[in-house]
Amino acid sequence: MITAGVDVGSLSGKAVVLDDNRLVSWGLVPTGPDSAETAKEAMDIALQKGNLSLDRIEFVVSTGYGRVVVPFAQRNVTEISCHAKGANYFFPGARTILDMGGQDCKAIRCDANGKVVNFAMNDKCAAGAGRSMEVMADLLQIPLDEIGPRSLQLDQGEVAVSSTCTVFAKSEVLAHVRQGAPTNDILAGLCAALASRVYGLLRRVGIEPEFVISGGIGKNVGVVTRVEQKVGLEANICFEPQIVGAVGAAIFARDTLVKQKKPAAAR
Amino acid sequence: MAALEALRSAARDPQPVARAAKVSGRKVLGYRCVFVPEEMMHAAGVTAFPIFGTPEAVSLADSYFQPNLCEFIRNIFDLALKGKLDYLDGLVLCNTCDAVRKLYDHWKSYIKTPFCHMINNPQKQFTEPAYEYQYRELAEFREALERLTGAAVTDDALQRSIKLHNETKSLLRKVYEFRKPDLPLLSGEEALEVVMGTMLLPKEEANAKLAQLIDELGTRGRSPLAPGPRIMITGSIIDNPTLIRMVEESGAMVVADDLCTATRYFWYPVKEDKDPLAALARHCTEKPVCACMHPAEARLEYMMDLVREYRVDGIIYFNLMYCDPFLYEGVLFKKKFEERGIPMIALETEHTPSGLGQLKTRVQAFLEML
Amino acid sequence: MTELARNTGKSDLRTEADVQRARKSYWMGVREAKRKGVPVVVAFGLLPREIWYAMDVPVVGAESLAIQVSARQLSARYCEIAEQRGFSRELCAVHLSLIGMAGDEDRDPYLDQVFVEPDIIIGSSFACMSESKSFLYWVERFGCPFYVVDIPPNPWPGGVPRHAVEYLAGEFRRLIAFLETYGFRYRESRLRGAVQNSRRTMELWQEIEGYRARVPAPISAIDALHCIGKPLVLSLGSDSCLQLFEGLRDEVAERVRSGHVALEDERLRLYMVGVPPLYRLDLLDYPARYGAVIVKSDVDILGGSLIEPRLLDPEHPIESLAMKQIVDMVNPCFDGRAESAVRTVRDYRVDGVIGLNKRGCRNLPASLRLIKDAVYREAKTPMTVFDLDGIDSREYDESQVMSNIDSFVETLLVAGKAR
Repeated sequence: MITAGVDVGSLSGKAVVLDDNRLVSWGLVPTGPDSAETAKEAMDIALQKGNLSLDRIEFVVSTGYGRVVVPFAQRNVTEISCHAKGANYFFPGARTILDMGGQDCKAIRCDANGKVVNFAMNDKCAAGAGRSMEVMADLLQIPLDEIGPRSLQLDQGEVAVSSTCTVFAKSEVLAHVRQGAPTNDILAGLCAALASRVYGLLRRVGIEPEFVISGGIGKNVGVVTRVEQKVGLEANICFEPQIVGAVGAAIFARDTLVKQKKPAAAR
Repeated sequence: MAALEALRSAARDPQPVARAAKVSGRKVLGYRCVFVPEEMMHAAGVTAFPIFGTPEAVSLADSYFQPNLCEFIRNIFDLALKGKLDYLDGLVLCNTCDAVRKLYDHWKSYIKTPFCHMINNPQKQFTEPAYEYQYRELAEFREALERLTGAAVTDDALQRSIKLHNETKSLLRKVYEFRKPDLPLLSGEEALEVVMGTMLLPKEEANAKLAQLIDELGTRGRSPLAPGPRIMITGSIIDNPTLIRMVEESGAMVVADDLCTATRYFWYPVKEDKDPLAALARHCTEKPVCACMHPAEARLEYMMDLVREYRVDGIIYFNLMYCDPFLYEGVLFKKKFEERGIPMIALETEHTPSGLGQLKTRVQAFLEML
Repeated sequence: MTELARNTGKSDLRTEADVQRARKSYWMGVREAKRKGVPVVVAFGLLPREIWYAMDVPVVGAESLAIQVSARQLSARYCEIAEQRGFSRELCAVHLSLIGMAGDEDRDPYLDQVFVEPDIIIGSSFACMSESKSFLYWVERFGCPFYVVDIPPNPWPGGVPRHAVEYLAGEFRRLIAFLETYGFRYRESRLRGAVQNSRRTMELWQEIEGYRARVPAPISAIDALHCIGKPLVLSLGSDSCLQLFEGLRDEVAERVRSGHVALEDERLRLYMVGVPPLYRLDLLDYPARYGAVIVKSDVDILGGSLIEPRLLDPEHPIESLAMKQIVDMVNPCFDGRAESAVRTVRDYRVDGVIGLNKRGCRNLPASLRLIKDAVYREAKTPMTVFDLDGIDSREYDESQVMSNIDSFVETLLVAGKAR
């Protein structure tokens, strides 16, 4: 049974193909102005890698903020349910999931079947999520993937970044730059601020092992390390944390299909 | 569904209703809150007009109130400053939340209608002293109305008004029966507008419409909703159907609503008593419908009654930003509901939501959880 | 530009040391009571300290706790804990920090020193919705018995009606009866004595305020915070509070006689409406660089406003306390608030008013425009308003606050307000 999940996020589109329980292939593209097009591009890559065509896919579930505009999806499910399902796929013991995406962060609690039992999401603004990290990388003119490692190599000591809004945090960072603070120390401050915000979010749902991190910021070692310290648990992170939501969606697709087929077989 | 449409259109555009009352030569008193007895105003021969907000952005009021005050109240004050409530001869408020109390101060200083009264009701319910104190406050309100109109508010008139308004409440309860079936015959969005329309219209007219609506719903046959989890909406005031529509579009059936524009308005009838003032005072001190009031347990029990009666699967708690009583209650009650096996999600919203995207994701995720 | 007289946020009055001692002994008394097994009460909403005093109830005033924690720069930590428990960041920082303190599993060493777990909680509907609701979290958290005192707000333009005073007096009587069931003894004679003390304290306070109105001012708003506000919050009605006020009156009188002033070369007199940053009290000294002194601020009245002493009648102690609570400026009541601001501006010969908009507060900030209009209309005095949360330091931006003060003082100087 071949199913697919498509996750159209604010910064990237992800598509995953699943054959029963086996991960066949996936695609990852930056989100363009047209969400439907982004979904299609990601799907095409996944199909190509898996040597498949769209008509071979029996059921597609879409998720992410662009989930309602995916033309080839038969059903949409929120990214909250999908991240829990996807985390459960990679780590069956997962009970607490932190998804740090482009536009927002989510703390999710789930049961042994990957069903959501509680969740919390941060406020409307992008502060402390992937987008603000991009803004800061741009501002400090360093590559995005260097933020994490450099934030762990302090020069003089972490600087304080207290603003909860990207716009204000930006001016705070600029002030530190003007005062001559070393870039690494500013990055440390940024990662610490994000870690502290998401920790608050996790506390709102309660933390229980095992702990899983998904989403793009799962690749930022500076944030992950600090979150782990605060939580007091090691985070499970799969080889590609950005596709966890899409995997969850593909599992929902499979489950839907199984449910649809079952009554027919019974009759 | 002519009655349904009539009530809904009254809710969508309240102004003509008020202006029509004005033309009839009666005085129109705007009021806010379910603890202000409409019956008294009706008996005094004035029109009781519930003030609702509009989706319009607040502009003039921003120089009077800081932005972190309830947007609903800022919206009302803004309408008043813009002259859009100029048909009102006065305002009646009661002692509920901080924002309402501030509206009273500001109205007196800057709007200056001939009449502005605050019923200083107790915030502790179910006690004899609170009842006695409420009785005195209502007596003063009655006198204030008499001074305004120059005519006595007789016990007889008050009895008749109570009867009329009890009829309204009982009709609304019957309308709500149609939300109880497995597939409700009235959607949450419709119900909200039905109650708001009822609140706005003269009760004689509203009662006739409600009776007709009950007939219409009896023959409706088909549910306006697709099957989904049975949801109760609660929290701060909701005076426009956007949020409820969004919840229903996300796949829920909204079957109950503990709101100032819904059950809180009509759940409790006034006891028809020899002393009508006493009956109203009892009524006000014995309906646990607001987060401003103590004890909180009484309110929880009332909400649990709704949960049982309408077979609610989950509760969505919409909290207007800066609406303190509900912000506190939301956290405290979430735990209590969950202990009773009823999942609840609390969401902070703006009075005029600027974007529903993230809100919708949370609502949908909550429904998926059920 | 005048040199800073001092820049500490502290008072150099002798009385300040006495206040410190009295506070310390008060808190030790509460801990001692706890140790001995006497039930400790945590009370929300600035209820009459006279009742606690008269019944020997060891009481922790929730607001006192919040103020202390803010002064120790700890509010942010506790607000964050409250937010982790699901409470909105938009709520009042006094109450978020109180919730955080109750919810904290691993108490900060400082809090551990001052925190006493409640055995009884007294809530009230005084002042605002936060006061009326936040104590429920404490009740939940500590599972103790509680009583709620319902306090009517004061919207009556023509004076407080009898039935309101009677209702609140009844509420106080029921509070007393509630406390009696936990073994506390009520003697009316003691309460009369406490009300007599309060009356005398009010007289002394009036006298002190008379001195404060002099130009140049003998003491500043910082002195008043430490020596007037703090003892009132803690123990109005007690012998100790009365003694502190006697000492303060004498000291201020002596200052006036000897010509000692709060700020040499006083050129401008300011009035601060709202809670100043308790975590950065030296800000109150900041305008000194312009020769401006904050002669009066609302921190004086954190423990209840100055009322006519004759309203306190020891023959009717409970009714007197009810009246005092209803006419208190903290009770939502605009008429009194704006009038009193105008009176302050006139009495203290204030040149400019600074209004602080505290995020999370729906009471005073929502009256700042009314006050601004009133002081301008009635006393031709300008008022500036800016955002500042006096409790929660997380969004405190010193340069912004200072530039707000700078530009306001400049306009006053340009307008020729300086002496």
